Amino acid sequence: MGRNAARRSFLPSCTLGKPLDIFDRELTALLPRLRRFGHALARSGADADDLAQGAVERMLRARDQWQPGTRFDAWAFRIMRNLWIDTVRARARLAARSAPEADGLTVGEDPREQLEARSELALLMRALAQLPDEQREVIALVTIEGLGYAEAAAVLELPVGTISSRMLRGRQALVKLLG
Amino acid sequence: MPIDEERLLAWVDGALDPTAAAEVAAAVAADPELAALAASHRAVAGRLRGGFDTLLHEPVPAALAAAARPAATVTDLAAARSARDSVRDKRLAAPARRFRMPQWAAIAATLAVGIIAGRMTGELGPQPIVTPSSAGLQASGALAAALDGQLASAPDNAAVRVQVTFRSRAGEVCRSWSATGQAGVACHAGDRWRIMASLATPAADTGEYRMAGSSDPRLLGIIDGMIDGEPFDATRELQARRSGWR
Repeated sequence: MGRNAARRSFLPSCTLGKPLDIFDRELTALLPRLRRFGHALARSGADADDLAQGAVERMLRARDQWQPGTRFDAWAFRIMRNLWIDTVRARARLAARSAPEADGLTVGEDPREQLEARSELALLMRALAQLPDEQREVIALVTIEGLGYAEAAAVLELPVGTISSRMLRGRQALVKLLG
Repeated sequence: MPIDEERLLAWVDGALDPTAAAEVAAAVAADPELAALAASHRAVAGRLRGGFDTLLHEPVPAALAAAARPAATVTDLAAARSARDSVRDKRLAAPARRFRMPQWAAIAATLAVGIIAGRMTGELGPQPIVTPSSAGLQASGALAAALDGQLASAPDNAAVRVQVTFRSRAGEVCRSWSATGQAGVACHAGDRWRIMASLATPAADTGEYRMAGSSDPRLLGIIDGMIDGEPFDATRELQARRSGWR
């Protein structure tokens, strides 16, 4: 009887948990890519990981909004990109009010930044950081994360034509910076 | 038809339909200047991908991995389950009360992941390595065998690897383990290994999953929350095995 009783209570838990577990597995599997996307958007590795973490928290709160069967990465990138825009704008407001010295204060404090300073990744991040935000996010989604133009257009809620013109300006700038 | 740079770039990025792509390809083949421009865009894209791809091979920072832990869901599942248990079957609910809530939460989280992953792994043999019982989930098959007999010093090629052995605050001997695609913590109770936590680990094509078990910050966090004192060294581990993991 014990075995049957265990099975009765066990199976409903599986059924109940199924869509949620898909979400959790998708999220865990996506973490390295969220870090990569974060590094393409943010100006430092520390900022990138903070951004990814904040985005994960938002995703968990919004988990009911993701439809199983639809692309999890596009959904996640959209949440992360919106958080990034919020952060960028908040920082801009803060910077406008405070003295410009704030910019130099944290540089070099994070050992990761020193490490990055020597690496190819740091060089690429610095080049990307020189692009306007709207070009950077398109390159992050398409060139680095491998989304198609139409998929990036859906994430950013822009026409495909806007994606391809921002892509061109951003990539022309990168050819000059990195070529 | 002249090819503008926007279209050229879309071609480089593989964003054109086959007809349009063939058109651009023909134009590039006939025009060295266009070919050079395409090459410079392709080089930059390749460099970006190569540089940023290094991030995919780094371990995910502990804080980020912890943020992705599905605490909210698990609590819902555990609550749903304990509510159902208390109504339907008092015999099932009784052992449940001995655990703290987070442990039950962890057990609930294993239900789908553990069982599904257990069935999918080939090298673990035909038997599931986690099975349900009236006292919760318990180790079976290759996992039970490894927890019973294997020392942390065992060769790397075992299907299940046992890593950390320790005594929990509840007084039980517990061991962390990893196998293809999953890792967890089990504690010895009676003559069984009860699964206290189980995690899905990245299904690496490089065989790195074995490392994932011992260094996974989620697993270390779970052990940290359970452990009383220090992990066993090789001598204590051997003694514990001799005394039947009591």
